[in-house]
Amino acid sequence: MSSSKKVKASKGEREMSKIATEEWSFYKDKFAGEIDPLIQKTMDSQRGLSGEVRRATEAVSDAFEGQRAKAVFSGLQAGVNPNSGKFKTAISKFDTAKASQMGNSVATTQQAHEAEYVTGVQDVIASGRGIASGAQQGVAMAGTMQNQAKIADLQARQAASQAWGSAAGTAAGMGIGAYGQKHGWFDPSDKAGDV
Amino acid sequence: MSMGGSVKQDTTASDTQAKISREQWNLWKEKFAPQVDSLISYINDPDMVQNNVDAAKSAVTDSYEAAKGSTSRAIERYGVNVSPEETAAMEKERAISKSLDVTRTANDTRIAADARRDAVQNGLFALGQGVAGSAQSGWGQVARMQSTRNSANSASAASAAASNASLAGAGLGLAAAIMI
Repeated sequence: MSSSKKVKASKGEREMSKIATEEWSFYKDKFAGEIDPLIQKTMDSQRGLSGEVRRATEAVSDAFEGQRAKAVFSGLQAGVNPNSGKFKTAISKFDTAKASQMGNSVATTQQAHEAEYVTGVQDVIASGRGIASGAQQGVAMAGTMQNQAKIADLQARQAASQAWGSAAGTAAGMGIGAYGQKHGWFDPSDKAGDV
Repeated sequence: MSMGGSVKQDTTASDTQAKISREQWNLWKEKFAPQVDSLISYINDPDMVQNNVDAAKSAVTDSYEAAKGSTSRAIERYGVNVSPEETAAMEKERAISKSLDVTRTANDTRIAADARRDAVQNGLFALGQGVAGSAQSGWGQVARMQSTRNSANSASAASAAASNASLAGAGLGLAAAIMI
């Protein structure tokens, strides 16, 4: 009697399963924990607008104040009368230019900030696409393999069933032959192929 | 009586793969899907562009208010005497400049916010197409599996019928032989 044989997992297959398990654990331990901080960072950046605006405002203000101090100092040194129309106009124009730059700078900062937030969310979503497609591919592969396994099982059972049928047929044939011989159905001198 | 032929299938690897796939999908739904929601809310917010424009206008207006104070302080600091006419001229010049800046900044901001919304929308469409394509591909895989399964089942049914017919034939032959 022949006994059922099994193909055991190779060393390579076992190693691969171990490494795959370790990789998934590694991902869960190290990377999955970083998803929340990444999302949080994006959310925090939305709230950090006031700080960015303040820095932008201060930078423009410092630049203008520095230039004004220099201009006033050099003008006074050169003997410009502070009550002259030229001096007054210069001060006023200076502050208007400063206001223009400052307003523009703040508005630009606001837009950059909003764009940064949107880009941040898009980056988070993009980083998740790999996980989603990995899930899709993984489950498709698992499903295909299990399907193939079930089909192989069905075919094996079918083959066994056919073999039993064939064996039964052979036994029946042998029985008929023996019965026929016993009752003189066949002439022992007949040769196969003779017509 | 067992006819044999059936072997207990080892599906631990594919079971694990299916489990990990489920975990990954759950992770995506829990962490990343809400981000998609937030972008959708962002582009669908009817006040988004106007809020941006209002914020830009406020920024320019605030800057001009600050400049007004700054000029007053400078005038005081340097002991400058400014006549009401000179003050009015300064105010007028500042008002014209402010008006121009508010208009320009509001326009620029509106254009930038619109462009940003369009870009996000396009990005979401591309993402949505990817998700839809993935769903399509997933169902394609399932349909192929189902088809393969059905083919195997049909082949099995045909084979069983043939086997049964063969057995019946053998039985009939035996019965005929006995009767003769």
